[in-house]
Amino acid sequence: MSGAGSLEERYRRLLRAYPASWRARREEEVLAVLLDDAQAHGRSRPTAREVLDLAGAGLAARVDPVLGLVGERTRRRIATLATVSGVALSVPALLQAELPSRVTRLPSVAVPWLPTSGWWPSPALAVYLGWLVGAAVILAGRPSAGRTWLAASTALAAVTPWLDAPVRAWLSPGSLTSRAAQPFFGPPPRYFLGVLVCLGVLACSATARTDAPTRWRTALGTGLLTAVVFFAPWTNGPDASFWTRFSGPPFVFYRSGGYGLSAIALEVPWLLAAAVVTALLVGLRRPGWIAPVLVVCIPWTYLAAFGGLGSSARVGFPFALLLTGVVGTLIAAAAVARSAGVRVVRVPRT
Amino acid sequence: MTRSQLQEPSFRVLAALASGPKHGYAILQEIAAGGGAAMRAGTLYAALDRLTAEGLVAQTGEEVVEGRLRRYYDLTDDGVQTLAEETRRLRANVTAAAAGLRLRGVTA
Repeated sequence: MSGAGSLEERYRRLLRAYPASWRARREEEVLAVLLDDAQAHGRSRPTAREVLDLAGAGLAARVDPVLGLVGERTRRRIATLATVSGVALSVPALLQAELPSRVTRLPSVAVPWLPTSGWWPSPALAVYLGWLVGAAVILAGRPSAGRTWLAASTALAAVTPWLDAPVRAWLSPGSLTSRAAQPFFGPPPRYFLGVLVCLGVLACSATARTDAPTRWRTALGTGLLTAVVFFAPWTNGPDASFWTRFSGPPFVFYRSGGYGLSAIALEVPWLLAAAVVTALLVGLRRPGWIAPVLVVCIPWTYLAAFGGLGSSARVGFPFALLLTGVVGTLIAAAAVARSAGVRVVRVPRT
Repeated sequence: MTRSQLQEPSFRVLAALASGPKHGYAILQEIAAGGGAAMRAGTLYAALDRLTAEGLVAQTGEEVVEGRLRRYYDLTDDGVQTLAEETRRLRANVTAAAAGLRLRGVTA
């Protein structure tokens, strides 16, 4: 029957999303289920939901063997830290670069290619909102749905450099796409988007097989609140008054030395050092936190290395690396001693 | 052994197998009959793979019907115990929520 044959071919094509070993074991069985269901509902082609379901499950089947190398608890901790990190960077970018990106707030508007009014966010606006919504959905007890938001945000961050010009051309034909406008309204720097992509991959992959117990959500909520309070009002320069920190065109946040991203990058070496010291202290009692902290420090290190426009970042970075190396050695020594059964005991005076 | 709580697809698959062994499409039908969002084949087999790896579900047989392969699955002893524990936990949650709602004059 040509109709059934055609449907079977379509399902077989969709099942190619799975790895070959999985297909060798499962393909005929799953195909039978898909055809039974289609026959029962009188369908002659796969539904959109089936396509998404098989594509997602196939991708997960390909990724799972890699994720399986890392324990579930470790992956959950990595996910928590990566999600907090992604939100910590998204909040100031959203508040200071995208939401207030009104042209009338530019210091000078007497330039022919600049429009005089309007709101001109980059596609990165959706990236930042995706992080916030994803984290909120996870906190609400829907880790799968939250992961979908984070995955979508990560994918969008990866293509934003190429999406930016078409989106702006659609928003404002002929003005914001000009080369002269790019320094002011260009997309976020690629290193920043790269950091968000790295964090997104960690957040998504680490939560791939976890649920959301209350303790984990509490830890995530506490981390998110801390990140928002710490990052949101602080990154537009130490001399700005509170409310003016929430205004200014994108270039102030993305590209001005000493402000926005650059201000964050200046502090990252110290944050990294603090994170490693905290990991040492916590890790003495709970060694399982050390590896997740070090893993999530990697994209932050990338941010510090590429985001510091001022010389202070370049001075602070090697120092922080040195400190991190020393502390990391201490952690390793403590872990080895612990595994060898070495204990520090108080000897009573006789 | 104390387990972390089950993901919803895993619980629904275990619940569908509570009445006895079933093949994949029969599990989907049982889940659909139980109400809630429909489950798709990709989600079903991801859950079956996970539950099989955890020793909660086992394959019990297979047959070919009209040229289509059907494999049957059933709960293991651990699967029965896990489903019972999870059901008790969820029932306790439901009882607590219903009691709270009654104080507001809402019957759930």
